Amino acid sequence: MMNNTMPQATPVFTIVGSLISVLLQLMLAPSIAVFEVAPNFLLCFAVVNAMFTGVIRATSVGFILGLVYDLIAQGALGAMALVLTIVAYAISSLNKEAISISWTIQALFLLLSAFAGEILYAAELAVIGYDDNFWLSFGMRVIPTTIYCGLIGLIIFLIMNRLNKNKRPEILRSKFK
Amino acid sequence: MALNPNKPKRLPGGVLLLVFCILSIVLMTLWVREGTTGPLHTLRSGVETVTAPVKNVGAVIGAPFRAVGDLITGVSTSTSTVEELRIQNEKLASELIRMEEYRQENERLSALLGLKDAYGLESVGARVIMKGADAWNRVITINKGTASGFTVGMPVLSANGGLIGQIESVSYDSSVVRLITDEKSGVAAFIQSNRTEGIWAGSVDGVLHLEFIAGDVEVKVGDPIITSGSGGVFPKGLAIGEVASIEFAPADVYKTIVVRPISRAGTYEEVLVITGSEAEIVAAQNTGTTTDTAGDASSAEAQQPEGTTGG
Repeated sequence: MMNNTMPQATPVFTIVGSLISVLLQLMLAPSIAVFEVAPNFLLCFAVVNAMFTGVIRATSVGFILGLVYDLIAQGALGAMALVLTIVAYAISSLNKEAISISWTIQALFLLLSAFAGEILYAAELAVIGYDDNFWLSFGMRVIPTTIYCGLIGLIIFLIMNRLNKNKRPEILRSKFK
Repeated sequence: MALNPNKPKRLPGGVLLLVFCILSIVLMTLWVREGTTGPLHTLRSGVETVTAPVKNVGAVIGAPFRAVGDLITGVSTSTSTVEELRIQNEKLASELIRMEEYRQENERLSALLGLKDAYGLESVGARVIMKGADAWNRVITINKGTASGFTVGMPVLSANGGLIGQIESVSYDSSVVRLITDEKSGVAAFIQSNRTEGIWAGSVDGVLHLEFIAGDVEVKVGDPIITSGSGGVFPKGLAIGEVASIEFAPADVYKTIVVRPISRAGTYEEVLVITGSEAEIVAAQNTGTTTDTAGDASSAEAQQPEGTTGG
């Protein structure tokens, strides 16, 4: 559902943002890993992009970025594609008026979305037998990655919000200054 | 955007969601069912080849960030002096285990003539260009692949001789190595002092365990753990680590043994890939000389790639 409160990102912005996310995942993510936990830039961008775009574009970008992640990483092909498709669809279908009430809600929403993505991925890996200890993975990977992705997602969100502020309806611009 | 009750707005998104979900599940099923030489695995290998230069650039650009990450990860080992001593200690520990292994083998088998030296290993050096692109796999990417004679399954050692993993996938000029601390890693190993064989296995938290060691086996903290060579996955006698702790409850059948790896994950920048034993390579070269009367030099080069060093 389209909304009247969040700015709408242009297709060019989505494409450029996606490419930058892929490059960051390849070049930067391994270098900024803390305690062997590397951030997932593609998840971060797919979540934030879904907050700024409609269902079709968000779902398509989620699927493509997920597939790219699966090709770059060493998990099962299709696993992250499925996760990002579902997460991006769910976010883009939400009533975004509720999300844009305050920065706290937005930050919390990003964190919850990152958590949903990571926990779904962990569950998938457990189901197909790639991860034999779900609860240990939950503590060692899901939680740290969620926090990391939440922080990075917030930065991406601020950038997208800033760059797309002119796409927001005039009546609401004052709220985001 | 105003809502129009006559227009089914959610249908295209829902259909798209369904199509992508089915596609993802089909891909996942094919991935799990196909072998390592299947089309999807080949596609990933192709992607690795294409992205290898980007990863190389990333390794250079990311160096300052990596330093910050290392600083956060290992606050207690932040000084260069401590780091140097630690590396030196790792090297000495590895050498000690190897020497002990040679000594014990000599004692047991010195009566046998013509014993083939199992430790004459050929290895090729490679540089680590990426350490784990995601949080779910403990893997590293190295800058050599099939062009250097690498194949899937080759053991990988750190520069100090400790086993760190095994090549999982290989492309033309890069290879992905799954580390021994990953939960998907595991192979036969034994305790050097009493030759008791067990299975070492990685875990989600990166701790190495030696499993299936019976409760009545005497194990001490500090006992070296080495590969047993069973199953032919790794050559016999490669140093893995030493016993860090032992837990055993009277009701248990097996002891819970935690192994401290000789080569700590994330500290190495260069690795050695074991491409075969010296004897095998000499035999292969001899076979090539006798069967190929044309003297094809390229086959000899393939057997002994550039940068080959004795193990």
